[in-house]
Amino acid sequence: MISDARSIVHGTTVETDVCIVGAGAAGITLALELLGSGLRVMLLEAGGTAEESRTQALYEGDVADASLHSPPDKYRQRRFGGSTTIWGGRCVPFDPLDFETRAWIPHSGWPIRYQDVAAHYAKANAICEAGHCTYDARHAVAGGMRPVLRDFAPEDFTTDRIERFSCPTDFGRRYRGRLAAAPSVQVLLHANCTRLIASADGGRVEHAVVQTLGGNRFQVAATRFVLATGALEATRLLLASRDVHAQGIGNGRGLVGRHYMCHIAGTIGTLRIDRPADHVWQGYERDEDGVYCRRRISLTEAAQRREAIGNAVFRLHHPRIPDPRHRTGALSAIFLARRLISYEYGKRLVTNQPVSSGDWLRHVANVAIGAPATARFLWHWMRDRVFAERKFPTVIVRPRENLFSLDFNAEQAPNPDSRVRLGEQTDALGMPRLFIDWRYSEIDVRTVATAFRLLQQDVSRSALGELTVDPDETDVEAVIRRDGAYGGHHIGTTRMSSDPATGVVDVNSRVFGTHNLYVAGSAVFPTSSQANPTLTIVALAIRLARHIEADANRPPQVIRRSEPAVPVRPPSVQAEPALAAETASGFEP
Amino acid sequence: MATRLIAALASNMSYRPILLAEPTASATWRHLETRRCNPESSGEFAEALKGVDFVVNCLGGKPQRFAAVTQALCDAARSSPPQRIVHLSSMTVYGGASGVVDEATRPEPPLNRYAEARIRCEALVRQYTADGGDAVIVRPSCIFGPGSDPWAGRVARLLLARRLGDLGPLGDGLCNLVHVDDLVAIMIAALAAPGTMGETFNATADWPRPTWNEFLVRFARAIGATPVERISARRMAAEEKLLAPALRGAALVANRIGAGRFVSDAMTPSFVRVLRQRITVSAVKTSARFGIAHMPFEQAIDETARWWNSLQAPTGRTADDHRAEPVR
Repeated sequence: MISDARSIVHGTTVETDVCIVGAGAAGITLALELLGSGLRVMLLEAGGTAEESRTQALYEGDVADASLHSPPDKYRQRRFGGSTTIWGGRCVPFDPLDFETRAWIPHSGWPIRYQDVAAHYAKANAICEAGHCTYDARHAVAGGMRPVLRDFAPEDFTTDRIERFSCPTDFGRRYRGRLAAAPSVQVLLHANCTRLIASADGGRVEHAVVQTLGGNRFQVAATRFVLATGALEATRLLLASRDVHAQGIGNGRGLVGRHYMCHIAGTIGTLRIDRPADHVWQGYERDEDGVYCRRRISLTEAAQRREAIGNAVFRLHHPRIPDPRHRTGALSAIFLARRLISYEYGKRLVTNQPVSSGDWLRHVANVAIGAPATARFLWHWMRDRVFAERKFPTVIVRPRENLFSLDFNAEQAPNPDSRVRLGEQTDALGMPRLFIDWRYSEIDVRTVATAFRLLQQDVSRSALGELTVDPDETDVEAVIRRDGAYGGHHIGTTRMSSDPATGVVDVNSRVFGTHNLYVAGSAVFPTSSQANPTLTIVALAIRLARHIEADANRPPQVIRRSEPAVPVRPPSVQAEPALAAETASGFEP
Repeated sequence: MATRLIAALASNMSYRPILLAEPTASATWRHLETRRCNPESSGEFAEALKGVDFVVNCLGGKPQRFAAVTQALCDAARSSPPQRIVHLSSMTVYGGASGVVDEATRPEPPLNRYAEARIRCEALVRQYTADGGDAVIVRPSCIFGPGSDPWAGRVARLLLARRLGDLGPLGDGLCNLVHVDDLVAIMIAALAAPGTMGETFNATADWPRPTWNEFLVRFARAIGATPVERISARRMAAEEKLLAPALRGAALVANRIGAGRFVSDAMTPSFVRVLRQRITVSAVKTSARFGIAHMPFEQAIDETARWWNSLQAPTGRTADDHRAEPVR
């Protein structure tokens, strides 16, 4: 059933078994997975079924360095379906090594095993509509996929790992009918959860305060609450809920909002292939279900261990679009049309350098000279992307003269100083806005630089061509800074741990110190991997659903809190706990 | 269905099938007695039923004729009663019902002309039993399997044309299939099952229902209609509202000049409605009464795909040949 929070009687308390805050990838998956469990589910969605500017503005906040991180209201959608309404659809599972404690990466290691998550990848794949859970290029397509580069046998990379693409599935549009038809699920639109009210002893969340922009206000009482709002908003909600926990729920040790990660991603280098054009394949293939699949050049586990770096992948990429020297009409057409492209997809088309009139003319000339190829590209784009239900994932343009750039996607190591906290401003509902201080660290730069060097060596050994660094890219850190935090991948602010001293949620995603509050989504990832987060978000949401089901069916237990909650402080005083000072005020495991 | 039923009866020592066909029908089977009559004439019907112990009413064709033919059959049977009539109806009698439906579920609107005709026929058969005759009604869901055109041949053609595929939200409903051989087994079991006079039985597979998407994608893979196309709701609406009327009009004209096979299948509103309908046809009563072991889903798909692929063989009949086969 789907209804609107604006129709709920002001001041009332609505009761349910499971209250899920946020109807994005995690929240909708969780609601779907709890169908048939016998549990009544209320799914609170702050937005409606389409973007609404006033609602979206509730996401606004500040960033410490605007050149490094996008504004918080970008790459996120406050509407039914959440950010799946704008995502690119790339699905990649994490690697087993991502779960291990790696001595060379501080704060690494998951408290659960790779298998615990991998067990849910097949179903996650189905929910994401990404086809079979086969991520091996040799088996994804009948007869195997075409090689990236014929006869390329790198030592430190494998080209047999692939990425799959969802439609991309807008979870709201795709699963609305199922949720609407489910008598056990109540979806409430325009329901902004602005605060969680804890019990007097702090051990339980008793109510979620819900407000609408029109002034309606009511409470939801539930046996269990799940924050599925994304890593930024989960942080905001926990920190803003200070009625009993003076520093915010789950923040007894000041860890909420810390270890904030995005991916380190961008474009680097020039790869020249000295082989015929048909020896190189940068594009997609479709599996039998029609899912677009693509090989990636993945750093091996052995190389990561040997070099003491994080995880990383490369993809063959077209030259940088803003630079007209690529002499490719299709790319120039994209550049010239960049104002028609959304912020999220147009970000890489923005160059720090002012575009000279000469460059403008060169782009126009590229389009004119390459008119037939440009027309073919536009036809392909309209047919296979704009009007297709399963969309062609990205721009693939065959560069001239076998010159490619490399798209990289690298792990960002967890760093407690990279953090999200509450800012000074409040939004239209009186909720504190976010302040994002995203920081990369030395190992992140080293991961990209080392991976690039290793790939250079492999290309050189293969004698198939040459991988060089462009003159303006010799400083890898500058390259990282140029592209900044990879938009939309907000990870790690309520990290999972087996120990409340090092994490915010336990192995079941339950917030330490509470008995009935969970976090779903990439906020709980202790490390970021190289993989896009959505598939793992969905897998973990399935896992959480199984836990909640099992937990709900357990006989009641006597639960004793080991320590009282931190004394109440006036809500107007914002807590800024230091990490070291929190060791005595948290909860015992 | 009738072809498989006749073959099954012919191989059953307990029965000797007789085909009752219209005088104009071209259908004949070697070694099979064929009797011809005007099915809307109870007198001719009664003559044709002489010496017949059981009647299976596999009425097809235009729904406008269903009631007249069934009425004639019942009238004929009253004057020369067979031991039992097994009347093949359809799950369409449930109309727009949703959720789990069993044999006692009442029809719900909307009811199209086909459904109304089927309901009318069932009423006639029930009146026949009320008058002392012996009849059983079988309501099959979507008949799938070798030789089944609506849910195998037509679907295969549409999949290969990439006009069907993964339907997204539209294909989330459960797919109520019955394999043609399982339906035949139910029909034969119903012929002589004691204590079932006047009863109605759903005929649908008793395994966990796949969704339409699961069925379509699995079948598409089996017949090589890959990569499976993702079909948008907008495109399905265009098929239903724009293309289907045009194709049906074209088919009417083409059929008159013997070129019906060259007109593509139309995705009619009734076809799309079945895809859209969130209905689960209960097989509980039928399973309990007849205990038919249904062919597993995977096996049914593979067997049907083999049939379909054999039709595509250069020396074999084509799918269009099959589609052009007259309704018997």
